[in-house]
Amino acid sequence: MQFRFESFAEFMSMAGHGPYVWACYTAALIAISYIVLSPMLRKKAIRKQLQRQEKLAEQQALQAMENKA
Amino acid sequence: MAWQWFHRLGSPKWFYEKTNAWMPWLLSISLLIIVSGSIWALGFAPLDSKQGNSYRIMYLHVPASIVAMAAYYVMAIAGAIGLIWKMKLSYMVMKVAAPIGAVLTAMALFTGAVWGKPTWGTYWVWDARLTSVLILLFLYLGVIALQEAFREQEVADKASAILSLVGTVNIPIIYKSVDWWFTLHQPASIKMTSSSIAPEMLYPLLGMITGFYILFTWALLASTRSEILQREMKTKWVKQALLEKV
Repeated sequence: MQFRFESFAEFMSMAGHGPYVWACYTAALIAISYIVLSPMLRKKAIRKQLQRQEKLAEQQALQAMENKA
Repeated sequence: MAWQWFHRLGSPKWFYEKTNAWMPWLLSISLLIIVSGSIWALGFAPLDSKQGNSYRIMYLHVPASIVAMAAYYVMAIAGAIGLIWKMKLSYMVMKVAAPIGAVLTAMALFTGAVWGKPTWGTYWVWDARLTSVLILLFLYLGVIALQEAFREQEVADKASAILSLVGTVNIPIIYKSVDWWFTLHQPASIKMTSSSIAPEMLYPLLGMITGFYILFTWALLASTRSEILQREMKTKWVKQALLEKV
């Protein structure tokens, strides 16, 4: 196993193919980030929604008690 | 007795609790493999004598394409199980497989087009393989759109399942397109029996394929778990599961 490029600049340019190769790897990074983050963010959003609902239910229960009193 | 596991599997709560422990492992292992595989592919894999450095795109293109099709199997089979046994969990798996499959298919198309420019001299041709994969993307988008189109979840699930099953026709066409219409896209280089690819190039590729499969497994489970939480939001166990761990 050895590194196939002489310098970092050569690694970036990839003998002219650099733009193609790096564009693909950047796109892959974006796609994978989307795949990883979207279920996480969705769970977070559902938790927030539940918390809001619970709070609302509590307030309504409190209001009902006050109305009775 | 023998079918007990099958009925249990149909229970979203059981599924959610069972998969809980796997999630961090699947994600960290897959990301570790993909990151190290990419470094290997970009810097350490030998140069291709014909294509030069552009072939390093293969390490993204091939795994994305393979798993994009695997995602379709999962979606269609889950849809069939949902239709036959009316299993809600199965419909949820079908629904969440569509956006993951769409992203992977888009990635396969994009990397393919960018790879095509230096190799074939063009980003796109109406080659049979390219066209059938484009249809795969539209099938995924169709399922996503159907899910959004109906107010009743049950109707949306049934319609998506039928579209998924009908679209299965496309899968053997994708596989065989490179042999039936030998136009531009090359046939498969890796086969079970023999591979026409050097080992130093093959190992990182097999690594990337494994990494993508594990990432897909994680994403499918994670999205199904979110879908379960959404659909069962009114139940006690979901409230407990979500509100206690804050």
